[in-house]
Amino acid sequence: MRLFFLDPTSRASINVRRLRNYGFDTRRIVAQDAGTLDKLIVLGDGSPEDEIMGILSHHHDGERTIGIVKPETAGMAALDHLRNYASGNVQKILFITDQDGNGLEQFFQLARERIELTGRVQSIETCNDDDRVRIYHWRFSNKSIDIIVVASGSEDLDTRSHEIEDHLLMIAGITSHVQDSKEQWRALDESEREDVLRLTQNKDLFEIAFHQHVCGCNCLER
Amino acid sequence: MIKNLTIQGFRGIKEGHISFSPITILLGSNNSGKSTILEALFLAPNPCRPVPYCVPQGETFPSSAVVTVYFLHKTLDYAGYAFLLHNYTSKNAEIKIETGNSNDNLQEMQDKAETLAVNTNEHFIRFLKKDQYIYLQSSSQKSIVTEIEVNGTKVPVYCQLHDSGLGFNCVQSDAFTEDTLLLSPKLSLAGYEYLRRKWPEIVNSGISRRVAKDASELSWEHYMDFTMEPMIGGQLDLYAYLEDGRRIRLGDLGEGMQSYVLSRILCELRKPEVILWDDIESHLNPRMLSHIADWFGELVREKKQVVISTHSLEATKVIAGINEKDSKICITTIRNSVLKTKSLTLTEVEKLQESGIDARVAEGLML
Repeated sequence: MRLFFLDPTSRASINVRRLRNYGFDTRRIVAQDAGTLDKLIVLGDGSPEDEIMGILSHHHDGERTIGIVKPETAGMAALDHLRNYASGNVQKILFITDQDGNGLEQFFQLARERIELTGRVQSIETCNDDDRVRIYHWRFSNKSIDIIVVASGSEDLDTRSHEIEDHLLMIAGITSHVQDSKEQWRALDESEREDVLRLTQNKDLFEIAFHQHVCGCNCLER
Repeated sequence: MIKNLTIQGFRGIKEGHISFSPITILLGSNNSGKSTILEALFLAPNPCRPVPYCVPQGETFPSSAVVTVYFLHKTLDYAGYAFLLHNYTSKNAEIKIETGNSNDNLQEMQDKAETLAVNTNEHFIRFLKKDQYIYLQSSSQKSIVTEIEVNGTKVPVYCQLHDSGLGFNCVQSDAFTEDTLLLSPKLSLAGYEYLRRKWPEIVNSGISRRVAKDASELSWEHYMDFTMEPMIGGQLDLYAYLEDGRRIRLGDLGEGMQSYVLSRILCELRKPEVILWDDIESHLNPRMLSHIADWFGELVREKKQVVISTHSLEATKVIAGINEKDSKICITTIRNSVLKTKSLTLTEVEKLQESGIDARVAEGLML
């Protein structure tokens, strides 16, 4: 899949384009022409999400173009913009955000409540491949859209709050004595962080480390 | 006021339709049909009418609208008028406009539309290709001069454009409907050449003094008037004349001021009912854009209409924000040669931005 940034000058777009510094072919990742967008990725959090989606796109090489946005409001609040995304041809939305300090069930309940602020959740589907992915069949006006919600973070890391940095630390081999994965990731040297991003070029490693993101993406592309 | 435009087989658009407001802002990415829409509106009153430009290689003064549009596309390195026809190969092209008397603001127009049908007048210009010529047909009765046979049918035409050069034979050069004026950074030199030749009229009618006073609001210095005087080498050049007697060459005042002064003088001179401005953000800083937005508001109050194209969200926000009731933002795109448009309000554009969507590239999502 190729990513079309609905704000080409956004920080998210710049972060993905900078992946070329780590050996990724960003001309393959970033689409210049949107065509008709029927699938959309909505990012709820900061820089690592941008980079991970860029790398995911690299591993899911293909011609299909998918729109990608990062709204001004972060976390679950990003779901408040669903109606704006539903105005056109979009049929599926992949939403990725950190689990934070919530339990998994609590996380998905919060997601449901937030989605229901904008429309009706007709049914919910669990993903057989990963329990950190759920699909909400959402209806607003005369539109029916599948919203695939992915909780970033890993229970393998014993931290108070689960974030996408959990996965990056695991690739870096840091799995114990982690209080806050976000802070721990930022505390690494720039060269150490770059080394981790370079390691993600290994598709097998990436797909293990970011299992729920890959599953969510498969659901989106189906 | 022009309410609707329908295009068939004209330049890059095989077919398309767009509606207008008192102020319409065409917003879109490159090659999304914005300039073609403006050019269609510019040609619609009559491609052969004289317009306030003097383009290089133009055979007449002032140049005609169709020669001016040709000049805009001279990089095509093609001498004839076939560029007007879709893919250069279409047998005919049509530009149809609907005009109406109503010049009310958007809300009033919508209210009226719900209660009564608004009277509109249709007018079209057709380009018909036959042999080495392109003939012009118009819906205006006074434009019928002769007839040609196309597919066994006699068609009334009034102008013959040579396919191999810039010349044409035309006996009807009046505007058949509301006059339009295209402003574009690419036409600056052609506009200045026109001003040089018409300068006595511009000074004697008081236009230069009025525009100087207006332009002073954008400068630290107070301009009394604009004058045309010999520059080193003898060529006449345009100067801003200051209170203390100093003169500043307009060319030294910056591209933005030049563009603004030229546009104001041309509009004052020509008094078009519809002003078309391509790439309005070019050379204009936010202060100038705000000033121009105020001017557009005045034009609308004078029952005039403005259609502009831009890539700039900043320009869009300033112009639509200052004239919110009269403005419509129109996203354009061309898919398989078909023009697609979607109207948005400023609030909707801002909401999209909050959602992480830049309206300029959102056509794939919305159209």
